[in-house]
Amino acid sequence: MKYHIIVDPDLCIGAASCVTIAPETFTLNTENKAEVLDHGQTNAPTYERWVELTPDELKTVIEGAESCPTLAITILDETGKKLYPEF
Amino acid sequence: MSLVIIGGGIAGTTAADTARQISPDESITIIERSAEPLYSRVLLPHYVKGSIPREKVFLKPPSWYQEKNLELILETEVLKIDAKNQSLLLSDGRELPYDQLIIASGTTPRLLSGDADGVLYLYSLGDADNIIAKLNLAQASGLNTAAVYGGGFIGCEFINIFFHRQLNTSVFLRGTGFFGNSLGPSAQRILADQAISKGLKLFFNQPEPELLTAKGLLTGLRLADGSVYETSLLGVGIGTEVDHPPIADSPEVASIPPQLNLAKLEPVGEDLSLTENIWVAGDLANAFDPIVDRPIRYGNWQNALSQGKAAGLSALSQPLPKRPISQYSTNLLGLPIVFLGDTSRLAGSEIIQKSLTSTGSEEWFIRSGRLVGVALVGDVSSRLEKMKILGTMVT
Repeated sequence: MKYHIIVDPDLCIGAASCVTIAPETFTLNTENKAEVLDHGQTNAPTYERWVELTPDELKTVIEGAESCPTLAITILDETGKKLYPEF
Repeated sequence: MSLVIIGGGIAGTTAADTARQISPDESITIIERSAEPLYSRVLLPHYVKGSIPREKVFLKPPSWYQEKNLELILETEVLKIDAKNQSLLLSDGRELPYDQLIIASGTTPRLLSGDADGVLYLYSLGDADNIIAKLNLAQASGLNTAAVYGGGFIGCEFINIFFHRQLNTSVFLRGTGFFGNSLGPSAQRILADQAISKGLKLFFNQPEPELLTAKGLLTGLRLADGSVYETSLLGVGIGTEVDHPPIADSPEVASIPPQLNLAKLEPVGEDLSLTENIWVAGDLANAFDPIVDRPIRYGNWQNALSQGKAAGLSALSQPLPKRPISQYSTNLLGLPIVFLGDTSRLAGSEIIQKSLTSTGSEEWFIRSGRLVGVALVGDVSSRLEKMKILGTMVT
C-alpha cells in the first residue's frame, strides 16, 4: 500500500532520529534537513513523496515519525487519512 | 504489578508507552510536577519565534493518556522514595506504592546568582510564555537591545530568537567561544565570525555579570571591567543541573541506599538499573554508553527518547535493542552545528581537527583508538557517513 510521507523543512531541525530509526525511508540533505527516500528507486530524496510500504515498514516509518522532536513528519494513507500525527 | 514513572517528559512518557506496548494490564502511572502533559522543549524556540501556535508544542493529543490507560498525575512532586518498602511520598500527601520505578525527572537550568524581571531562561513552556511577553513589552516600549549570557545550546537559541526580533544583541561568553566544552578554537572562530557578520557583539571570558535593576526590572549588566551594558532583556544559558533528587531531607535519608543520591550521578549500566526495582532514564541519567565506552550524561532529545524506551523494556525484564548513537543538531543564525557521540573535551579523548575551511570544521574525538565523537560546524554534509563509523576503531 502507498503512503504519503511529508517532511516539513521549516520544522525539521536535523535531529536525525527518523534517520536512525528508519534509514530506508529517511535521509539528511546538505541543509541538514530530513528527506524521504524512494525505497530502492532511483529518484532523489525529496521532502515529500508517496512510498509503497509493507505493514512492517509502515510501523518503522511511524516510529521514526514519532521520534521527531518537532513533529516535522506527517504520514497519510491513500484515502488521505492522517496516520501521524494523530491530531 | 505497578510501574510508576517520575517525570512526564519524553523519557518518562516513552518509558510508559513502551511498557504499555509490552503489558496491556500493568498499572502505569506518570507523576509530573508541571501542569502540562508531554510537550517538546525542542519546539519552544519555534513557538517563541511565532512559527507555531502554542498548542502545537504538545506531542500527544489530550486523549492519548486515557486511550493508553496511563494514569498521568500533574502538578505533583515526589518528596521521598522509600526504596525498602517500595513506596513514594507525594506532595499531595499520598503514599504511592510501586513494583517498578523509573526516575526520569530530568534536569533544571542552572540559574544566575541574582534575578530580575527581564532575566530569561528557556527550559519550560512557562519560560517560553515569559520570553514572548517580555519581548513584546520591550519592543512596545521601543527598547531594541538584548543580551545573552552563555554560548551553548540555549545561548544559541536566545541569539536566534533575539535576531529574529531584530534586536541589537551582545553575547557574553564565559570562555573563549561558543560550546567551549566541545569545540576547539577553529570551530569557535567560525561561529564567532558568523555571529559578528550578522551584527552581534561578542565578549569573551566573562564571569557572571552583576544585574542592575530599577524596581525589580532589569536595566543593565555591570561587567567585570566595570563597564555597563544597558539592556532590559538577558537570555541565560549556562548549563543544567540534575533535578532535585526526590528524597526528603529528613533523618530517614541516612537509611536510603547511596545509589539513590542522584545529585552524585552514580553511573548506571546499559540497562539503566539504579538499584533493585529502580531505573533511571533521560537527561539526569549518567549511563554507560558502549558506543563511547564510558558512562556519560547526555542532555539531548535522541538520548532521552532511546533511554526512555530502554528503561521501559528493562523494567519489564525485556531485552534491550542496540543503542543508537547520541546526536544533537542545532544552528547559530543559520550555520549548522552537529554533535555526534561524546564530544566532551574533558573526557581524556585525543581530539583531531579532521578538516577545516573558513566556513567548516570537523573535529574527531578518539579514545583508545575508537572514534567516540564528532563535532561538525558549518559543513555538516559528512554527518551520515560519520554516524556510520562512530564507535569503530579508527587508529
